[in-house]
Amino acid sequence: MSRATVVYIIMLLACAAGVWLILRAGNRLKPPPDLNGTWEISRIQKLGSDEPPALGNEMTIEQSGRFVHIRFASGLKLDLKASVRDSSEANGSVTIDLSNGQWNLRVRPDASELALLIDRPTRAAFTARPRENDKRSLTPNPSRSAARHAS
Amino acid sequence: MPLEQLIPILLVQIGLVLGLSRLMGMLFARLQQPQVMGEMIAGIMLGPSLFGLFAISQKVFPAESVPYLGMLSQIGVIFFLFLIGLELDPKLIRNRGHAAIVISHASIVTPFLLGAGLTLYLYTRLFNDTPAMRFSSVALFMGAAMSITAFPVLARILTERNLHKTKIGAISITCAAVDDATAWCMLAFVVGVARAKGPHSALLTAALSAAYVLTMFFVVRPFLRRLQVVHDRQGRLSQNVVAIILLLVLASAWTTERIGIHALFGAFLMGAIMPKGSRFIRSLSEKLEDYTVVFLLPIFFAYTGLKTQIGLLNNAELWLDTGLIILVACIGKFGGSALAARACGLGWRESSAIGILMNTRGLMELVILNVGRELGVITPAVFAMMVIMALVTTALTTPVLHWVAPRRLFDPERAPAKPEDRAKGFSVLIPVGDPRSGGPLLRLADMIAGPAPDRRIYALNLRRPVDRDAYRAGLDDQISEPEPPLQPLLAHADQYHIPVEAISFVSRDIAADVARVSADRKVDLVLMGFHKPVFTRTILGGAVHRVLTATPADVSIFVDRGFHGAQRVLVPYLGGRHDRLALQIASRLARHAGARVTVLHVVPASRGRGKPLDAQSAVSRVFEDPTQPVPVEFKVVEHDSPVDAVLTEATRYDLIVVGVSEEWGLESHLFGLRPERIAEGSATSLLIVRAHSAASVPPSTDSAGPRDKLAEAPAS
Repeated sequence: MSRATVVYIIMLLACAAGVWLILRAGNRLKPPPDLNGTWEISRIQKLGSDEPPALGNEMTIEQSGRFVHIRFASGLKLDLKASVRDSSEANGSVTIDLSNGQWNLRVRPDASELALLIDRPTRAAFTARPRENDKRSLTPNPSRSAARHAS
Repeated sequence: MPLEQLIPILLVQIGLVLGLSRLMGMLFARLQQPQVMGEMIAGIMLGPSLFGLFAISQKVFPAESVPYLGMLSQIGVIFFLFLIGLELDPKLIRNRGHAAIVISHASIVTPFLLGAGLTLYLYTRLFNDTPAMRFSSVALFMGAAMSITAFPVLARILTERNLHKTKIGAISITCAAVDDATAWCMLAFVVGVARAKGPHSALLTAALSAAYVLTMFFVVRPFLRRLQVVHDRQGRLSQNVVAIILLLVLASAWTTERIGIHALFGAFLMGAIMPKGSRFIRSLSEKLEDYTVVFLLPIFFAYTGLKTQIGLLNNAELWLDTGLIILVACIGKFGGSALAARACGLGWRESSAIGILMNTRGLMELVILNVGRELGVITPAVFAMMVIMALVTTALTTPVLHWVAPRRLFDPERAPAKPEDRAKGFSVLIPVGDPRSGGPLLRLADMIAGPAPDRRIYALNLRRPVDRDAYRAGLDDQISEPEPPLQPLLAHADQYHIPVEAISFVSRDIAADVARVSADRKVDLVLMGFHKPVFTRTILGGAVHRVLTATPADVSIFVDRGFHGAQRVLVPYLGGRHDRLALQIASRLARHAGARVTVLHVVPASRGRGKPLDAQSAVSRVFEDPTQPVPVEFKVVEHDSPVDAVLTEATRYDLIVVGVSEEWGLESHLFGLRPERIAEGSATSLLIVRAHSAASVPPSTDSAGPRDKLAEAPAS
């Protein structure tokens, strides 16, 4: 076996080992739940003395991981950063805090809708359902959940 | 939206896309960047990042029309990938030596591992929890996206810098070819993994992929060889053969799409298995290339631009992540390639040059990113970040290469001339664009330069970069024939035993390169033919104007009206700087070619004859050299229009040598519509001369400037 062949085999093995290690480490990671899509807003509730902000009847979320952009039908646009809190390991549900200094929102996705709580600037709560033609599933990715629990 | 409304919108969109992409391509070429950079930027400009900020964008690119544009762009990419496969010649990889193989493997493995490794950090920041964005899919995709090299862009940079015949060029083009082939195989694998719904589905995809590849090699390839035989027998590429090949490309792309490894892989493999090194491939490539590259690819760039939202990167953290992606991409590709090259025994400078070249990602990165976006493997923000990475790494290539591998070290054609290569006697540079002008220009140059043994005549051919040449950059090293535009001139030189030094290289800026070569060789006179500019009516407009103003030497433009020799030469003379140069050139023609020179001094009829004595003494100083006097006729005519006086006189002469000046209606302008009556109205050949002004161009480092040598003409 020539030296070159040995070098290639080592390079190939190193690459395979590196990829295996990366995949093994990465499979334990969990990105934020996917909120992308257009959502119909319903049941806006006032929780404090102030009037809830005008949101309109729809919101569009563009999410790239922790970075979330929400456009409400009222014209309000928010750029927010998400942090995910595991509220209950047992059922896999999570709470996502979205904030940008001026706005604080708490989002709890479940199988059929999002429950949102606005903390700042005024307190209010509402729910949102996927628009009819916006096919999506809010259930957490089963394969990843399984991997997480296995690890 | 009904079809009758959609078609006009699509036509406007395509027109806008083509126009802007050509414009930006030309602009970037002027900035010494690959043209494709401009085309990619044009696409992004049309998207939400710039044009989308204005309300009119909704009318020009309504959401309903974008899918149609997307379909056209997909067809474009499919045929582009077929062309890439078509140009991938195994000869590039064979016999390139151990170094090329090691570097190419290292240039894939290192960025792949770093790209996949970077995903460990980015995954929880920039990706969402969706079935498509499983960590394995994302990591493999990021690795593949980081390890891509833009073979066509790299080939073009190599050709433009005349590096393709150097060791750096040969190694880089080989590595790019290997990277390309590997990257599309990797992409097929990643797509297979991302689309697989479970272990059974993955196994089925793998089995079908293997069957497909075997069919392509053992069934389709022999059939293509038979098509080549048909082509060779017919001596041309018939429309039936083209139709069969297009059908095969579509069938191959359809098959791989159905298997689950993406249509692009099918198109690429179809091109890769075509019989190589034949006229058949060249004809096919010529038929498809212009339509694909000029028409369909800009649509792909525009579609990519419409999907690129740079506005999503709206905080410092995201820009830091973008910077990190660029850094990792550069370290992986540049570092991997450069270190491997160094380990193979190449010097640091050569190794760095190879690393920089391999870091060029260009449009191939956009192709792979679009696949990732369609699969849902990357989020819109990551897509925007990676597009920026592709632009930055491509834009960096030329300036950094210029810095690391300067032309004086790596470009044999453009390297500054050694002192012994520079003319000691009178020298003439002939830039040849039109092959037909070569012979007459050489004859005239020979007459002006004279028989002195230390005189030099340089024939310069500057080739425009052509994509087709660029693709073949790695295969052209065995070609050493003279360039076709120089062939008539060199044949003439052989016939009349005129020593000529031929210089030929690829140029993006003809005027600047003529000026550079003339400065480098320290030529006394640039003698060029006349080519009507595209946008002006004037002989002295456009590129000729730029040569006239940028060249640090006297410049003459020859307007051939059936030139057979210079027996009778007319020099219109009013006493200006350029007129004096015309006198000096005419005196050379008189001494070396036995021309009878008549100097025509025109004085206004309204003012009477005045005092032509000053003019006559100036003429005498040039012609009456005590060692070698030549006869000259000094003629004074009264006329209110100097141009008419010359035109009246011109019919009896073989050649008019005239200096550029307002009085003769000859002034150089970049753009202009003023008729040059002396040129348009004369049936006699014309040599328009412009004396070099040291004030208008950087001073020459040589103490004996061109002006001095022309002034010394009588003694030569």
